[in-house]
Amino acid sequence: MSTLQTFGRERNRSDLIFAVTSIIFGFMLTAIPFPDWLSDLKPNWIGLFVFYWCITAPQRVGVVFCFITGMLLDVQHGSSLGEHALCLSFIAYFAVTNHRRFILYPSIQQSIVIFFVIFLYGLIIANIQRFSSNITFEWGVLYQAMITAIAWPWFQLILGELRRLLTYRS
Amino acid sequence: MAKISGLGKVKQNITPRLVVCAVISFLCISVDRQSNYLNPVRETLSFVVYPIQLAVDLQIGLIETISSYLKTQKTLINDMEKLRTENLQLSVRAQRYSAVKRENSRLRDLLDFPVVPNQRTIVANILSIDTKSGSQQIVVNKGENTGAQVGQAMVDVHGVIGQVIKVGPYSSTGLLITDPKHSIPVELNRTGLRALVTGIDESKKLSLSFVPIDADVVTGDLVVSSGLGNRFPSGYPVGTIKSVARVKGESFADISVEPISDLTFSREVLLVGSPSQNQGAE
Repeated sequence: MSTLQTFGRERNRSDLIFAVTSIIFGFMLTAIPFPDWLSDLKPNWIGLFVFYWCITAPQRVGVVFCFITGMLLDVQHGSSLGEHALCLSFIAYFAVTNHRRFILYPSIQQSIVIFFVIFLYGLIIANIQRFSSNITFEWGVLYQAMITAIAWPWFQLILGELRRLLTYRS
Repeated sequence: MAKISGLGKVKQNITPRLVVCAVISFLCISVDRQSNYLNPVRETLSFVVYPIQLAVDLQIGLIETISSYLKTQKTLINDMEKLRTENLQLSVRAQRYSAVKRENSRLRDLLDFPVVPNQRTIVANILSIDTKSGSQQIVVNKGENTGAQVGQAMVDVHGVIGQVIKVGPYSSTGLLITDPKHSIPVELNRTGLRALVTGIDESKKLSLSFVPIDADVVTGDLVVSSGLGNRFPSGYPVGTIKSVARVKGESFADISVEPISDLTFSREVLLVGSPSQNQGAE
């Protein structure tokens, strides 16, 4: 799992800049319209980015960073302010407190963890949105979690390589 | 394998941070659900999000332009031919239209019926659609800067799709008619029967409520907005009757309606009407 290495403190600042840039990129990916029949297969980009950064740079990207990201996501989605912020804060907490263990997992196991995290995230969001009515289950949430889990190994590989390239150059 | 440094500090103050963030989130959710106090916060944050949306929108526009350049000459000629005939037909119809309009206003005068002559419309592009997870909303790229207002009806080329519920400085959010929280007063085009179309929790389906079981409703009937409640302009198509189920002993028929416009294919919407005089049409 060499790509998931946490780097030394001297890289902290460039990490933060890179994290912010990648989150902005994540917002752009989220904004790309998908046809209706494909919309369940759109990975949870923000979830992926946030998880990656909490795992690899827990000194820089943590609960507050993810909270702000979540607020922005709420504005983008038009959902009531705080929904995504709440979920992303919990994801960040989970990721930061378990990042040492997570880094050592083989990538299949990492994908499984991602699957459950994103699945839970989707479920919570879907059910906060109907506070008053009864709890329901949507298959779309499951599909999205699966796609996100499948995307994770490649995602973290690409982002890790990019990060290494950028830090070596500067 | 991985060398980890500088972690001592992280662990110590992460839990209080989580607690603070969670409490703020909960407060925000409950306040935002019940009131508009958080709109300034939303507007401020939308200054960050809007450029991102805009950037994506521009790229999509670019792709569309490029693909339109790549059309072959043959399709262009065909299109041209088709458009020419269509134009002819339409211009003929437009001549009829002016006559009909005059006749209509005369008849309305006779009936002493209030007319809303030329309603103000704003053309907006759809920035994002969220038709999953309980609420069905779209975000469009026109906000306060172009005069969008809460309560305006959203209409596309086929018919009514929703109404504006939140207006930001540069973008606004619309609630689709398919949202379970949304209802629109309608009438059947064929019979003039008035009813309410409500969204149900399945995408692309609506239900026609409060129609007596013996009412004259047939599959395929066109449902248009009635304009009651002053929120939606009257006469715009909303959907067609898909199925009618009459259960014995019930007082109302169970009718499902198929929305007339498919959001998957529309990119532009019109914001229609000035909602100054409306009150509580929802």
